[in-house]
Amino acid sequence: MAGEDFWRSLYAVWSHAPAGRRREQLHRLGHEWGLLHARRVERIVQRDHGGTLREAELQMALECLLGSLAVLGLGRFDVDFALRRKGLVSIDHHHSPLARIFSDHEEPCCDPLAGLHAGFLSHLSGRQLAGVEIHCGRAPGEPCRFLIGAPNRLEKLLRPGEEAGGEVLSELQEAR
Amino acid sequence: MPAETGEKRSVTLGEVVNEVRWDYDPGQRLLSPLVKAARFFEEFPWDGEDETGAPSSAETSADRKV
Repeated sequence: MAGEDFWRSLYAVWSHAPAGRRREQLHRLGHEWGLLHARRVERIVQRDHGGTLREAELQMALECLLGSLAVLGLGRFDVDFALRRKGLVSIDHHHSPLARIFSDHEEPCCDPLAGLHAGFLSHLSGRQLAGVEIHCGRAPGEPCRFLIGAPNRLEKLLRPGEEAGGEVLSELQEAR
Repeated sequence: MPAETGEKRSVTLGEVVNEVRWDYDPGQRLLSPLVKAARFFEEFPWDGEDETGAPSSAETSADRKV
C-alpha cells in the first residue's frame, strides 16, 4: 500500500520541475503502474477463473480492477460511458489519497491516478490511452473526475487556454 | 457497491450482475456492460463519431501499441 510518505517523497522529486513536465512524468509513472497492476490482476483472474480479463464481461473486468485498487488504499471509482461518441471514458474517483494529501495545490494533483486509469483501460482495450484530471475532488465526498481517451483525441478536445474539459464536462452533465 | 478505501472484500458474480447500473438508450448505441470487455472496446469509437455514428477519422496503427 502506498502511504502518505511515499506520495510526498515522490512529488518532492519533481517539485522543482515545470508544472507541465511534472504532471507528464507523474502521469507516465501512473500509466506504467496501471499496466503492471492490470497484468497482475490478469494473472489472478486467469488462475482463478480460467479466462482473461478481456474475455470477462466488461462490468466484471472493471470490478476486478476496482477491487484490487481499494486494497492498495487508492480509493474506488465509477466508470461512465456517456461520452462514448466523443471517444472518451469518464471516471469518477472517490477517496483519492492525493487530493487529500495535496489539498493545498491549486491545480489538479492526481496525475498518477489519471495515468493509472489510462493504464487499466489500455490493458482492457489493447490501445495506448492517456488520462487527464479535469476536476480534483478536495471537498469531503467529492470525487475526482478523469477523462480517458486516445492521446490525440484528448489533446484535440481539451485545448490549452480553455477551462480544462469545460465543453466536454458540460456535455457529460447534460447526459446524466 | 464497491469497497471503501483499504477495505478488502471479494465480489461475487451475482453481486456484480445485480448491481450493474445501465439505462438502455438506443440513441447512445452503447453495449450492455455484460458483453465481453474485448467486444465492448473493439467497438468503442476512440476517434469519436460524427452525428451519423460513423467514425470521425480513421484509426492509425500507431494507436494500437498495448
